[in-house]
Amino acid sequence: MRVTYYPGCTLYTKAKNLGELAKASAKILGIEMKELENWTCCQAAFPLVSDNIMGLVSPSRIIINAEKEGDKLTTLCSFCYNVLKRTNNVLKNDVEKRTKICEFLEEDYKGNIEVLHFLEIIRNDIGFERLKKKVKKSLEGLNVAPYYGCQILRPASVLKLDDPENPRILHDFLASLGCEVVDFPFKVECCGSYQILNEEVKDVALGCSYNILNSAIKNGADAIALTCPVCYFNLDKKQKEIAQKFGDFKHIPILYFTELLGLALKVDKKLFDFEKHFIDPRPLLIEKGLIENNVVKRKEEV
Amino acid sequence: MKISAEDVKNDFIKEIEELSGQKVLKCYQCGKCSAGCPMVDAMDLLPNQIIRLLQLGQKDEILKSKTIWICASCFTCEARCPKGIDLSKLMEALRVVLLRKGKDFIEVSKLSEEELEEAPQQLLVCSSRKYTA
Repeated sequence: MRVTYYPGCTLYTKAKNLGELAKASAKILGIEMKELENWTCCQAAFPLVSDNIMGLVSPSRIIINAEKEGDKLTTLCSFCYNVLKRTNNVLKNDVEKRTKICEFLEEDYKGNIEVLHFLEIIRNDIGFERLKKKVKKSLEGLNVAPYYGCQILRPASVLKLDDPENPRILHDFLASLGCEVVDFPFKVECCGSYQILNEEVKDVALGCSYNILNSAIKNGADAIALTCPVCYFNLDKKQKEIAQKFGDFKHIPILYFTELLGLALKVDKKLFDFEKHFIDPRPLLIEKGLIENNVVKRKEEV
Repeated sequence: MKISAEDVKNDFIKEIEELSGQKVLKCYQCGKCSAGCPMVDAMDLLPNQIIRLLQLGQKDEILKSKTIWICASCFTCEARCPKGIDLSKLMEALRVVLLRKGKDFIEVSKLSEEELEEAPQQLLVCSSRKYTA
């Protein structure tokens, strides 16, 4: 099957592991991810006030262009997913806004396109049973806590990905790869999101991330799997500051769900860029026999 | 606090309801939004207090509060409100009232080099969307 793929701003830079490993894994699963041409920024935040139609223009342009290519548009970043799916919902159901946007863009919107997260494509079109059969290297023995965050789940009435309080999709996905899935109470809590850049409340935002990481560790996780580049920044890159602020804190590696998928499907080793991680997952992956000891130089222990 | 009939009937409530598409009188103050809010520790007014003050037309009290700038739009309150109010939309409407006066609430130039180097692009775009006019 073929789907149109919208990468978004980070997937070729800071979240390279999220994008490249998804594409390579998709190929093995029989999904062709055809990148949308001339894509632009989705503008990262869905406008929450009713008269901000300008804020819907760039995601609408992306959706309308994707509609010319096929009936499925897929994304990997939680922020892009939230914005694009909510915008598609507006285009489908709000005649007044749709008319205004289409006239402004001088384009037609037919309403034949769905915005789907890559996980949704795996669940709905491949199925977790079939995914299980495609696994070449089971991730057995790896205790992974699935972390969802906000943007992929809420508002559930529009996104319809899963239950906003007790989701299963990432749990089922990890279980199909052979991981020991570690359920933990902070799986849908906010990581502090963009408030990490707000000097006044940075400490509270760091506290949000600390609670998530600590809860996963206490429940027996060796690593956390997630979908969002912002959560990744707060939960991985900020562990240095979290450790300075909370004396009892122990580090834990953070992995994109596609890195685990790539390991299980045995995609080309060269596509993994473990140097991008602040907390190096290699010692853990070597210990569990998932990567070879000699391939990569270990970064200094933090 | 002195509350008059004029306060309760003022145009501010109408303006916010129109911007947010939410009905503020639906709220019966159960407090679930405040109980689940991840950022509540930094807030000077609790999320449910914002709605209560809004019901009572207390424009100045609300607009000078830090709370509206601390909301991270994580939609946890939206998922839990038994009356189906999307509080994140009310918070954004309140921010927009101030932003549309042309004032910015963050300065990108003040971010550290390390943050600019490491932060994913959407984090910067998102915070500019939320905090600048």
